Amino acid sequence: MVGRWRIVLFVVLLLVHNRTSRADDADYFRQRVQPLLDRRCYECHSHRAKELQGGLSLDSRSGWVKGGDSGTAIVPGKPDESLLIKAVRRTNKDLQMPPDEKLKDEEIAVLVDWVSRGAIDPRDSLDTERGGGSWTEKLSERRKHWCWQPAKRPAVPNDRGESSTQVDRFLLARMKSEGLAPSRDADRWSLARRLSFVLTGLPPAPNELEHFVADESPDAFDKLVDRTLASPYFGEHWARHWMDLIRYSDTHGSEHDPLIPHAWRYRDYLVRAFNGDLPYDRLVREHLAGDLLPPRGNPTLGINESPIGTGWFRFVEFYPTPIDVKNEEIVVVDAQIDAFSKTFQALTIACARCQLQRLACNRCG
Amino acid sequence: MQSLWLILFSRPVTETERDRTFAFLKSQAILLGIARDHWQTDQNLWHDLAHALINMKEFLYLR
Repeated sequence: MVGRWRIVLFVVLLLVHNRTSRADDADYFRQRVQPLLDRRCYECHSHRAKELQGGLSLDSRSGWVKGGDSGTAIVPGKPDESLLIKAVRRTNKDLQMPPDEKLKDEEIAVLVDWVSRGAIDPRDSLDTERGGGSWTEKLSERRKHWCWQPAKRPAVPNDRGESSTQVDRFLLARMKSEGLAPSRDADRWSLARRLSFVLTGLPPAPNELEHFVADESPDAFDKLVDRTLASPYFGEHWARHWMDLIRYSDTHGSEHDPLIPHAWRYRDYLVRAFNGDLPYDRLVREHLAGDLLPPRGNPTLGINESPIGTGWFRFVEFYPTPIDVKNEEIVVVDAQIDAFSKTFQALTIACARCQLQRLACNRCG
Repeated sequence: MQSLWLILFSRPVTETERDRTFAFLKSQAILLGIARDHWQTDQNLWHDLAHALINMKEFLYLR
């Protein structure tokens, strides 16, 4: 019985060890090997090269596996048999890389170490075998995605129909081509209800409704819009959308779910920002560096609003007693970058944690 | 009834709706055994009506 437990324990330890060392090797590659290749080799041996030298690319795993004109560049685990190592050691006078300047001894040592440990290369996204086509082709294909195209100003269709807005003229043109006709204008009751739900998320107050329906002036609707925008519920409703984007939370999640102190201050800050019509560029600046900006005073509350904007940095999942402190730190910063780029740029740049080039990520490209 | 319709559906009540609502209140009052002079004030009766109204699709959706 004891013997069996020993075997189980041994297997568990082996698995743990194996997982850790694989992760370590991937980190080693990203932190030591890849920057070195980038600095000293990519100029001629990557998709960046004007002309790929010797047919060898080093910016993907498949690049060195396939190798260049002289065959596979690396034999994992066997540095002495790897052309890449031979080239940087300059043992053969016909194969000396980089051509202009020998690598430093410690740089060579990094490459030898990496190859000896099995040449673990976690880059698979530039892999030319996945999805077919070369990286250059893939990149140019991905750049065609509509979101990378410059904004255009198309000609507005001539047919005005019954509406006065340009957007409606585009809609009308398309409806006509599909053999459809616009539905009738909404009655005033419906219009007021739609407006109220869109701007405040609440039904209109009965007295507001009756006031609008009875108002026969031509700008009655504009005035209703202004009154609804001035409602305190407007800021609450739109701050809620923003809080979803920025991942607002009162607690950190994880099994302990600790409180995020003062989170509500950020929430109230947002509501005030929306209701006070804070310009968007200022809002963004305060989110990123509100603590470094000149103060934006709020005389009513007697506070400086600006630094509160940075509160969102705390809205991350956080485990108060982490086993791996370094990893916890990475996870937190990763979440901040992810929320930042999705909210402010509509981009997923968190993939840069592992990828060199955002369009290289197969998941989002 | 008018104010119920304004609060819930943002519009005045129609005649058909008013007739049907009165019929509902009446049958419900008889079912609950409420004396005629309490019809206007009985909470249970008007609770039932409010329940029925907020269950309407028109309360949930925008036209």
